[in-house]
Amino acid sequence: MNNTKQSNKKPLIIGAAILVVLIAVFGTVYFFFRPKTVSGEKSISVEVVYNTGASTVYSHNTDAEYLRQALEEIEGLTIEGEESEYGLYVKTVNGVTADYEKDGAYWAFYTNGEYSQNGIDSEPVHDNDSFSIKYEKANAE
Amino acid sequence: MLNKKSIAGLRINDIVLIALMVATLEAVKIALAFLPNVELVTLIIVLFTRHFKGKIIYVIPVFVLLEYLQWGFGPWTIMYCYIWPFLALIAYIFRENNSPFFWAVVTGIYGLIFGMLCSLVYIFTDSVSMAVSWWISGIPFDLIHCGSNFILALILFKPLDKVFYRKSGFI
Repeated sequence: MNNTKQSNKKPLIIGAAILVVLIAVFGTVYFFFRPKTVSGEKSISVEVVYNTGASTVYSHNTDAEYLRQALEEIEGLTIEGEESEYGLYVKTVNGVTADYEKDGAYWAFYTNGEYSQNGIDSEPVHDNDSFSIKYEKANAE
Repeated sequence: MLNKKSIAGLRINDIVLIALMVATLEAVKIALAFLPNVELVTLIIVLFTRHFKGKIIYVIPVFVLLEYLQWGFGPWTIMYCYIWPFLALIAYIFRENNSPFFWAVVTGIYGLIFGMLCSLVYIFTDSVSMAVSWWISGIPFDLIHCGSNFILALILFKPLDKVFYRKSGFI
C-alpha cells in the first residue's frame, strides 16, 4: 500500500520538478536575451504616415527606455488605444483611427526601417533610433 | 425521435451540449479578460475533455471560429488552430488522472510554453529570429500565465470536476 502511494507520487514529483526547472530556464533565457534598454539622453525621430500618404516627422530627445513613454512625451503627437495583455494596442494616432474590424486597417510600427518585434510598451529606445508609425491595411495589394 | 442520429453522427442533445460548452468557454474568457494572462479556458478545456471526451473535437473549432468572428483575423488565427487542440490532446492522454496537483502542474507547464507554441507561426510567416525574439519578449507574460494556471487548477479542479462528472452522467 505504501509502495503504491509512493509510486503514485513519483510522477507528480517529477512533473513538479520539470515545471520548476522550466520556470528557471525560461527566466534565465529572458534575463540574458531580453531586449536591452539604454537610459540617458537619446535622440530619436518618429515619422507618422497617414492613410492619405501624408506624413509628419518628429525629432525628440528622451530618457525613456521604451517607445510608449517616448511617444507620450512628444508634443503634437497623440496616441490612443486599448490596453491589452501585450501593452497598448494603438488604434488612433493624431485623431486618425485605424479600425481593423471595419476595413482591416491598423497602425504598424517600424524600428529603423524594420517591422517592430515588440509592442510599444516593450520596444526599447536607443540613441539615433528612427521609428515609423504607418497606417496600413491587412491584405493590402 | 430525439435519439435518432443526425448530421455527423451527433444527436440533438450532443449538439446542444456542444453549444453549451462553447458558450461556457466564451463566458469564462470574457469574464476574466480584464486580467491579463489569467484565464480559465485552459482548465475548462481539460475538464471538458476528461468528461465529454470525443465531443471536444467539435467544441474547439466552434470556439475558435467564434473568436475569429469577434476579433477578426491575424497571426493569432493560425495559433489558435493548434494551441487548443494540443491542450485537448494532452488532456485526453491523461484523462484518467484525478489529481488536482497533477493538473495544476500540467496546466502550469502549458501556460509556460504557451508563448513558445504561439511563436511557431512566425517561423513560417517571417523568420526563426523573429519567432525567437517574439517568444523571449513574451516570457514575463508566460510566467504569469503559468502561475495563474497552476493556482486556478489547484483550487478549482476538484469542485469543477465534480460538477462536470454529474453533468456528463446526466447527458
